[in-house]
Amino acid sequence: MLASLFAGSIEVLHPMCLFLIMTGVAVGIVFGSIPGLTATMAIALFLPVSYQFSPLEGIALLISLYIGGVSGGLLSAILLNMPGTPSSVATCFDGYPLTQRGEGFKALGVGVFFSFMGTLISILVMIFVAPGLAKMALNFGHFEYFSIAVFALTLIASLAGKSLIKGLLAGAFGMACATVGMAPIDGVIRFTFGSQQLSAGLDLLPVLIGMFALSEIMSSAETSRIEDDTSIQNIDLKNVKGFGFSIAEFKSQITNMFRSAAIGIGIGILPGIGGSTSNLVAYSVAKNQSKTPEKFGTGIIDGVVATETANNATVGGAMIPLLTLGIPGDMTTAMLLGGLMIHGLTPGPLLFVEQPLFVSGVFVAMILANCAMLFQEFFGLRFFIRMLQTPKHILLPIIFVLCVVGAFGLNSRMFDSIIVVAFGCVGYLFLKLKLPVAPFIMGFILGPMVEIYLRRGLMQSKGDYLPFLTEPISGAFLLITLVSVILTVRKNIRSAHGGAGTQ
Amino acid sequence: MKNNMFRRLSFWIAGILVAGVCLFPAVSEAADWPTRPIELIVPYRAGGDTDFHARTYAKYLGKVLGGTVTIINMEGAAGSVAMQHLAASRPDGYRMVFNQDANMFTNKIQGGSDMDHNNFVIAAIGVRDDTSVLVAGKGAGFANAQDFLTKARAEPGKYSVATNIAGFSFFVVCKLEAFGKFSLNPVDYGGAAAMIPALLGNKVSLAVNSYGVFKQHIDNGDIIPLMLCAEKRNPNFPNVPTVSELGMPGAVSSRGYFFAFPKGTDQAIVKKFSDAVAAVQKDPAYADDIRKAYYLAPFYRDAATAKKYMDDIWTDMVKYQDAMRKN
Amino acid sequence: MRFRRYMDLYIGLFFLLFTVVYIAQIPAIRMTRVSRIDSAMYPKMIAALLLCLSLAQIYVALKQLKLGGQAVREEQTKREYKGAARTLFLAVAYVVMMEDLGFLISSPIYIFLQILIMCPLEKVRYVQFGIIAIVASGIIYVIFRHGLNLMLPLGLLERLYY
Repeated sequence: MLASLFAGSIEVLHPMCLFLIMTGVAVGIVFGSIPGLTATMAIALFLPVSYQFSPLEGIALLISLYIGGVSGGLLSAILLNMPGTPSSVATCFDGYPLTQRGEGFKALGVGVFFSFMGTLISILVMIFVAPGLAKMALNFGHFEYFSIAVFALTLIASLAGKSLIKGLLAGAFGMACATVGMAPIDGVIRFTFGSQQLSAGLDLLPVLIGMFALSEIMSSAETSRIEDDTSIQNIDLKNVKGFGFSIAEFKSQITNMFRSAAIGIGIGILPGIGGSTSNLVAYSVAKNQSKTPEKFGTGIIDGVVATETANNATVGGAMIPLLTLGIPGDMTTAMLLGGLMIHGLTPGPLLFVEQPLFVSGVFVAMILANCAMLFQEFFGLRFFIRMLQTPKHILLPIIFVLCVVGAFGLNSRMFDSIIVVAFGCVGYLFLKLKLPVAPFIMGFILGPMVEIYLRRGLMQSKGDYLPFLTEPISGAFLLITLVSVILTVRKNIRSAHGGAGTQ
Repeated sequence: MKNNMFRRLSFWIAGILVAGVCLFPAVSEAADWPTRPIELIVPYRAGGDTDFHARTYAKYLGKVLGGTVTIINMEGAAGSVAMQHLAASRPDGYRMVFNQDANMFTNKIQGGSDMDHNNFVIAAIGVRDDTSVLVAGKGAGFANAQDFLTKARAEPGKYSVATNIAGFSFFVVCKLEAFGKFSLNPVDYGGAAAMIPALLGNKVSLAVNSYGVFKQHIDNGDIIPLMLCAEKRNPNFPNVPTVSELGMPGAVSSRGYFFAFPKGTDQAIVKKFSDAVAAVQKDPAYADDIRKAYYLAPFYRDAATAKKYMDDIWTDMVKYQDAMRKN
Repeated sequence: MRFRRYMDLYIGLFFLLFTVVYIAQIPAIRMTRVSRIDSAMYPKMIAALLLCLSLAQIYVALKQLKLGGQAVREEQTKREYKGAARTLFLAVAYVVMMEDLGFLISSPIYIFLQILIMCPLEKVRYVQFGIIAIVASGIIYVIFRHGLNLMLPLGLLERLYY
């Protein structure tokens, strides 16, 4: 194993390849950090560029974009309260409050470091355990995906904050919004009010940009004229060194790190679940498992550790089914698959056998890209912060233009930008009504999954609902869901009684 | 006073110039075409088979036409968003769509869209996929095609087949059932990415898709190809019997990928593009590319014959409308 | 002040309204038997959930109001709601006009106006903002359209360009 890695290193350690990796990571970070531009878009746009190079170089470039892109989202999430990519949504929840308290540097340091750790853990798992895990993933079918999606949905409850009902309402609202467009399986048109444009449904990215970025800009516009200080936040750059956090703090996060990495890898391996959920799920689980769940959302590093480890771990996780079975683990790896095919390579079980050097080369490239990411982000931290001290009134309009470019770039349709604006309104309403946004996003992403796998599962079982409970993995998840629901309801009733008592 | 008059005059001159430029239609001679990059719209995400074929073509067409072909992915509503967009575009020859006939027709049958090839000018059929196969997982227990047919006919509805209900795969399943005189239990899986783990993990017994997507696993032995929905055996995988040999010649199915321009595009441009497609197909590098990826051979129909080709496919599909819609 | 007191009630009403509109659209869904449950089943489930939750929310809100409502914390910062409204309006205009005017014309206009909306009065510098708007739009345009082949709309400039 190590011998082949060594051989792979030789393939990769060419100046051109290294240059592509460094550039790829840098560009990826830029794409990831701007709300509206994502790693997926970066890969799509650079696909033609990659053809000019050899397969390994081309794939090294694309993978570097992927790794940089997933990680880059934390920058705008922490500093601007806008997720740079869907994988960094939950990073806003604790990252931004940290910045508001002046601890932005620590938040960034934590995010960057644990992004690195997340990718590293998942790469190691990928290299050493990939075939075995891939086989395990084959046991997951429609029933299992349904149960996982239902379980993940109930995690909404833990993100609901003080009012469970409001959180559930937001979640249900998200589920409802996701039903607009063509129904899964039979393609029937739903809730489009006759609009042809709406028949394509609402894409996650424009909705996300609207809910987070535009609403944030609108909210800023309320106070930016009045406040004295127009820069984003005052971040204390003088008293920090290294990554901004201590060894003691690192030790406290080790369990969190491994657990979140496991969640990220798990979600990445399962092709039926997209990678954008891993950060939200990891955050919810971390909050549930924490001794101080009420501190989540006020600005503790646990939140940032959980999300950033998980979303980066998904990268390695998603590569596992791609390389071992030729099946993409999520949308971004689907593009990598396309890239590989254009280069004449078909990933799958035979790739390991026929092109072992290429595969080892990919592993080494990923490790190098991960290191490059750590390196670039670490040295770039002060630069990013300084750049974001441009006055809000100049920075935010430009960011919005980039958001629109990103929304447009998704499918080359102006209509997606209109969705951005519409959900900007919705996001702003949520802000004013103090409705939690996280449950909405989870409902929006997970709702369709529940429907698709319920219906497909029923086709498989010929209309029988029993297998959902009797299939072992599926039944296990449903059981956990039930337990979790009961516990949550009990907790809420207790706190309601406690609250009533003090009145 | 003089200054004022001068300023007013220059405003008028500027205004007339701008208006003139705006009003004069952009002139583009067919002989010069293309003078700028051509937008080739793919109605699906990057990474899929349609996208692959489009990008492969873009690579070679650029050389033949002497210009660039830019790929734009415009996903939505199973392709109808892109078709709608094309229908509303200017017919200047710089925007076209590359799509599969099966998806467009399925859309129409399912009611998602009311467009078909008659709403556009079809320049050429550039790819034909005649490699639809019915495969079984290793653990399903079918030794070969005959074994499958016997078992399937004996117990209608018992065996599950992974398919894409809103796509070509289900149409093939309907035809197989009709001509093979058996009935299966269709389970929607969307695409090959979901079908493959299901077959390998024994969640489903059968699947219908193009041979190329299963290639690796067939070579591995994890997936067994039962029958090929074509008239003659494919030289790339000659061991797979055809539906014709098995007594079901009506189940032959293929899907074509076409290039469409908006209605009203200059015929000379259409012909020039069509000829370019034919030229690309003569390039052995192109043939090699598509063979390596999907086991396909170059296939061409020019603008005149493309319409008939698509009409035939539509007529065939419409027969199974009820089976596919199941209203 | 009053808004804050009735906020929970407004939330309940808002979602109730949404649910009603949602339910009204369900009959338009075409039924098929291709999969065991048709495409209207799931929306119905969501509608039921939304209905229960919004009614529960209204009930809880009314109960809270009867009890005298919670202590209302006054927001410290003054907020100028007009700013948000203007931002939204400008964003709508920008997005709607972009297809026709093209990216290179609509973006500088948007950036310039949005900066003015958000900028404290004493820091306004028209020339600087104008230059920033044009340069930023130009850089974005060049990188994306020419560098990465992302076809941003040309709009009016299409005639001049080609």
